Amino acid sequence: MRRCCRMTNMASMTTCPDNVNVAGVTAATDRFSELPEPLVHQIMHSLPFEEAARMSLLSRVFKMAWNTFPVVCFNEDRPKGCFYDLFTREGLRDRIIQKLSYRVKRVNKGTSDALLDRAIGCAVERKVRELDLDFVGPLADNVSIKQYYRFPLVVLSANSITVLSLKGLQFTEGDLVSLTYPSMLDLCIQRCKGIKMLRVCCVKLRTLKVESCASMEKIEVVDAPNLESFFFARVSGEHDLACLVDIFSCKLLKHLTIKEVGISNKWVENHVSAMRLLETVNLTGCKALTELKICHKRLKSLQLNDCRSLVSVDIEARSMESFLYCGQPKPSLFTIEAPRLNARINLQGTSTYEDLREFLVSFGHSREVTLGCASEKVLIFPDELRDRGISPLWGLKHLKVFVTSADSRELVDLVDSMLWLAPKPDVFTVNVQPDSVEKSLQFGYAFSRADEEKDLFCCFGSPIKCWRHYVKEVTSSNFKPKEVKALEKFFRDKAIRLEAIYCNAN
Amino acid sequence: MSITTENNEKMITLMSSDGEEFVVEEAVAAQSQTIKHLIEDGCSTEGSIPLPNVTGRVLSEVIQYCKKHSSSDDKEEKELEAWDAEFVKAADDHVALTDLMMAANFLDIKGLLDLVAQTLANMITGKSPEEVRRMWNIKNDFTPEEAEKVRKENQWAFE
Repeated sequence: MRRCCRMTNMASMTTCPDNVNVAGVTAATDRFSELPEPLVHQIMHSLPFEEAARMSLLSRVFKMAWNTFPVVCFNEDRPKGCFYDLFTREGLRDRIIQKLSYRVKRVNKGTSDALLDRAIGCAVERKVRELDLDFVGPLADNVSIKQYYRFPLVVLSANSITVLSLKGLQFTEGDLVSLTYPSMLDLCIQRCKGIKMLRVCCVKLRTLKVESCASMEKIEVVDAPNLESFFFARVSGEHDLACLVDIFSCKLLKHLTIKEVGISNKWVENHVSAMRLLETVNLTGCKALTELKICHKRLKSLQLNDCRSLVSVDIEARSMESFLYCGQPKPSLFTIEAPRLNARINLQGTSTYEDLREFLVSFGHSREVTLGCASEKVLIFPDELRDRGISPLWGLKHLKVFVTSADSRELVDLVDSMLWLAPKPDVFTVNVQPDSVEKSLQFGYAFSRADEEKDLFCCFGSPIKCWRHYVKEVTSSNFKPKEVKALEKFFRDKAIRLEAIYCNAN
Repeated sequence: MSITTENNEKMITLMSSDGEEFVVEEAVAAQSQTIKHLIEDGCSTEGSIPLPNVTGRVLSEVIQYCKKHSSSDDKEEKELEAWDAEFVKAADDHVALTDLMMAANFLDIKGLLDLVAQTLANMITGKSPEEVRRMWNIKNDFTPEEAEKVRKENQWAFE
């Protein structure tokens, strides 16, 4: 319904004479009524539905625009009776309906569905293009649904639909739900009941999202060669129940998200290598995965969240820019070949410092590494380990740390430890909740001459010298005055070739 | 006319309905699907592209928008949103938003069209029909009987 008047309305647009006061708002002319109807419709579409209806009271022009407005939207904040009222009214019986959106959270049992059935039937008859039915509400992912709305079978034959979104419906026609739509572009099914097997067959489909539909055993996408985005998430807790995912025919897929599904190592390997255009992959809670092997030229972003059985990850993706890992750090888990990588690692669970050090070695060649953790203690490596172990992120230029609950007294220790992790960074950034300001330290370097007397006291016999030998300038930004003072003292005491400390206040 | 600058960026000249010329980078102009298609069809090789529906004042606002949106990438979404809000506020002082909306529609710049539509919608939200009429100088051409009928038909919206 948008923008259908590109050329046809040129005539009405040229009517604006150049000498009129262009700030037409204050001029006495009514420019608003001159807007072509599709544009008035677009403004109506940006308004809450009842406010759009109220525009009909402005003047005859707007009454006409309202009568031809092809959208019907209902949200739960409207009084109960009005939807039914609207559909039984004379004026709406002849209305073109391109989009029907009904989002009403079901609170009580026993709401009559007959009128809604009729409204949907009516929309299908008028070749509705977008149908959006939501009985759960946006923020109710964990709320149990008291009453499901029965999926109206008439929707199965609505060939005109291009966008279909169903949330909180019950399917009652057998185990297999087969959706075949010739024009469908976007399909989304969330928290629906009664789908044991789902079969999607939509030639034009671009995006498919299936989320939290209990007891699904199989999802199959056939004949959807244009699918770009596939999102499949099961109800958490069902991950160990078997579920077949068959999307092998979607060769042009760009975005793949699988959550809480027990897919196998082979499944990932086969699918990822067959889908040459893949750009993003997100695997969350796939607890059956033990080995992950990805070799892909185009892949830009990979997320591994809580795939806790993983013991080896082997990635060769030269275009990859973003990598996110949430979970427990395990030693020598990763082999990553991705030169332009920004890696973000959210440390969860417990592990030894030795394990963490070994785990981080895999990310030494990244462009940027972000470490997230609950407490900075996890990142303050003990001196004993620092003395005998080699810095894992040697060569890293940008290190970031996100800490959710931090003790500011530990700041200096944290900085000290970070400078061991990555001894020659250009920038080191700390972001600590609840301040959530990005504080940073920038470093300038001097070349050390190893033969100088003062170098002998530190790193004696070690092939790699620690940061203390090189740091010449430090610039701190956004730190609190107290922190700046502590940091200044720290650098003056430790850095052998320090020449200057600068401070940018917040 | 296509001129090439030092950094090899092709330049395009756009001419407004009141004869004002604007020289912009092709990437900026191509934010408009309409212009993009004109360029693809070879309409920009000689002279300037005439835009008979857009005045110079409106076009200069549109170009401001396109410049910003062709130079920012997706990562700066939040910053861009804030910029959009400021932009449309400032534009409202210089040109009629309805003209800006018509230009965005004609030039087929979806982002700008959505932005202006939402802004106009926000100006209407929460106002009585009388207030909206006053704001836009809309003449109430209903007879009292007609007005009553319309109100009755949409009674649910006034509850």
